[in-house]
Amino acid sequence: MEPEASVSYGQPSALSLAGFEARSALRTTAFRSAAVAAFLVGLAVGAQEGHGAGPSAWAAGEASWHIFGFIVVVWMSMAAVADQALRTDVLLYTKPQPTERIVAAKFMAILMQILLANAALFVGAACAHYASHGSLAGLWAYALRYWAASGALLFLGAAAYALALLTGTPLAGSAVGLFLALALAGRSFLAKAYIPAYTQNVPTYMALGLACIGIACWFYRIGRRGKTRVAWYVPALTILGLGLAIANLKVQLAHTHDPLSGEQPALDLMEAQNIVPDNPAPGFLLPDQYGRPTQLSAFAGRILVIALWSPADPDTVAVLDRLQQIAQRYGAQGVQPIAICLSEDVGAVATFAQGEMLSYPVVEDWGTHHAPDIMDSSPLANAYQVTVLPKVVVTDRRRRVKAVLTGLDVTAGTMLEEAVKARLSADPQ
Amino acid sequence: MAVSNPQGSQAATSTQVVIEKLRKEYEGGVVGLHEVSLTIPAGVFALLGPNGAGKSTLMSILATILEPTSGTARVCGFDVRRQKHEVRSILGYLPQDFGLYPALTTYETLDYVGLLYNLSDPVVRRRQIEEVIERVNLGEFRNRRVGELSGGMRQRVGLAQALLNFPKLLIVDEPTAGLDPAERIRIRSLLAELGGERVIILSTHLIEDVQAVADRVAVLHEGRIRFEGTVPEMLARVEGRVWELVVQPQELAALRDRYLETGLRREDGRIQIRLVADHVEHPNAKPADPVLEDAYLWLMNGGSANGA
Repeated sequence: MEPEASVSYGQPSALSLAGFEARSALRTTAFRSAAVAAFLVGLAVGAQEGHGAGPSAWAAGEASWHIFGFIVVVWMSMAAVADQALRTDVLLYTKPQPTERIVAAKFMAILMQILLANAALFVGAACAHYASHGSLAGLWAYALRYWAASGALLFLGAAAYALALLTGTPLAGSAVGLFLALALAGRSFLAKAYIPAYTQNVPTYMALGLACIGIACWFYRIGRRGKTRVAWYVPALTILGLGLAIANLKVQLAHTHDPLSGEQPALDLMEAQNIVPDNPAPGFLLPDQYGRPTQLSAFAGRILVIALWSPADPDTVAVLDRLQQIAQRYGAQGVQPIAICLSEDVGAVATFAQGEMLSYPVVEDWGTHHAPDIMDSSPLANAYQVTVLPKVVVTDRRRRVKAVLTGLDVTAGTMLEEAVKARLSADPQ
Repeated sequence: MAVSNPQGSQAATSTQVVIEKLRKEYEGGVVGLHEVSLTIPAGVFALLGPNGAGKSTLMSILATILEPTSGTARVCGFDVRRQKHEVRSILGYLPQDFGLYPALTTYETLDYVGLLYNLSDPVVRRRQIEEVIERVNLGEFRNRRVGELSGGMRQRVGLAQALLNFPKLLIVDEPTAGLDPAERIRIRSLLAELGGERVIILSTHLIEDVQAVADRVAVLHEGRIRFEGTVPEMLARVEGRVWELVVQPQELAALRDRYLETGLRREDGRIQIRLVADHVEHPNAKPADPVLEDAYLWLMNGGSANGA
């Protein structure tokens, strides 16, 4: 006679196992060291120029995936093989728990630690910003960058964990480190879709990370248990992750302009324009910080102050505050500042607009691709003949180019304000 | 220890392990086990044998971490191939080479293992942890990090984690290896106490461990069972075949050539040698009481070592 199945007290979920492991790990020297190091990195990069928290949050986000990304790869690779190295696996896998649940719980526990350490980096940056500015205005910008950086870290960590676990060596995780190094060094020759920390790519890479963990659970179970039935959520997670990643990637590729993956006719039209004195300023249709399509014709009858800047060049960020001053002082007289952000990361505009609490439109030039020559970086940059950032164009009330200002003098002196005053006196309301 | 585990009491139809024609062939054709058949009742069952005899292979199959090539093994009625989850629910396993998380305290380690045993109710888990901590005498080390414990203490933690679900089958592989004599005796005594309603399979190189705690013994050699029975039955195999004689050093080589040597002692320049054979042709040969070591070596030698 077949015996009855054993009575269970109730199986703990992978999450409760992970919670236990994470709580235990929070007290370890390794985690505390990582959190303190991350906090110090945040302190080091967080004190940036700028009225609000935008530049500080941006710098923290960059440091997070540039520096902390490599730490995460090593951390996850080591953690994936820790049980084999410690010989705790012989105890773990003779307990009445599915292999996939243990693997998933272990991954989630480390991920929780990584997300907390990453939060420490952003807290460090916020502290540095507060110490240098005496204000925490625009704090939401940190949340935006934390989201993007954490998404990238999730993918990097999941891929490193899966590779190290399935091969049994942490060296395999270094392949992910190589990918990260390549993504950092090769922005000029890699399509934007390959960079996991760009806000528009985060859903794709998070979904890929989930798929990596699903695959790790699946194949590690086969390795340990043979071809036995795996829990339903493993194939579901894998298929869902891959499906979401592919779907999001397709959407991104269809709606992006990238010389390496696909160009958009609309942006080609923008490139066909040129900046000529007394002629209309090159037009565009780009999303602003709220995602609303924005074009110059919407500001008919106003004096436009169009500034092109890039978060990759921190010195140009100061132009945003100058535009805010212009908006406050001369907005009532019909002066309309518009900032054009030359960034491959579509999340940059929201970060800076929220961080600097900007009241005027900041539009995202989604045609931007990193290039050694800034004129080649986007069709619009080409149309505006940008050789130096920031570049500011002042138009009359009929959108005709009346003044062109370039370089850091725009933000340092009174040149910009004088140009606006001159235009106002020549072209009163 | 009170056996109060509903997992065990409902799962088991009979507290025994039944192994039938179990074979394990590794890649490359190396055979770890040759159609081994055994019935292991409740009590302490010792597995004896040299390295490579197949002890670890057999235990790994019973612990569900190794798939047999053919044959069956049932633990309290549950098939180790098809009902792994059920077997694991009533299994306590202490491998020879195992690790613990050094950053966790003894209590935290057991708390985590409790979760792995599906003891999700914190009250039940706490009660069972307290019980095993008391049983293995780890009370004063409950809040000490495992990384700070001595080898013997870690072994006790290992035993505690294996006992946490009050297993119907406890497999312990070389539990006293590398321990100092006092700790070895402590672990041995604990195993002796634990035998009774559960099956304890003890693998060891140490004959004295077997003599101290085992109810039954199996001797494995090159993947085959050479003997299976009680300790007195094993001793009976060499009853009347054990001899002691005092000899000159120059006689040793000739005696070793003809008979199976199981011991040697030097006394005042003379040598007392212990031999196992049906008959020893030497004027000094006197019959001696057999010990388990004599029986083990005799079985290892094919059970027929006699040059006479």
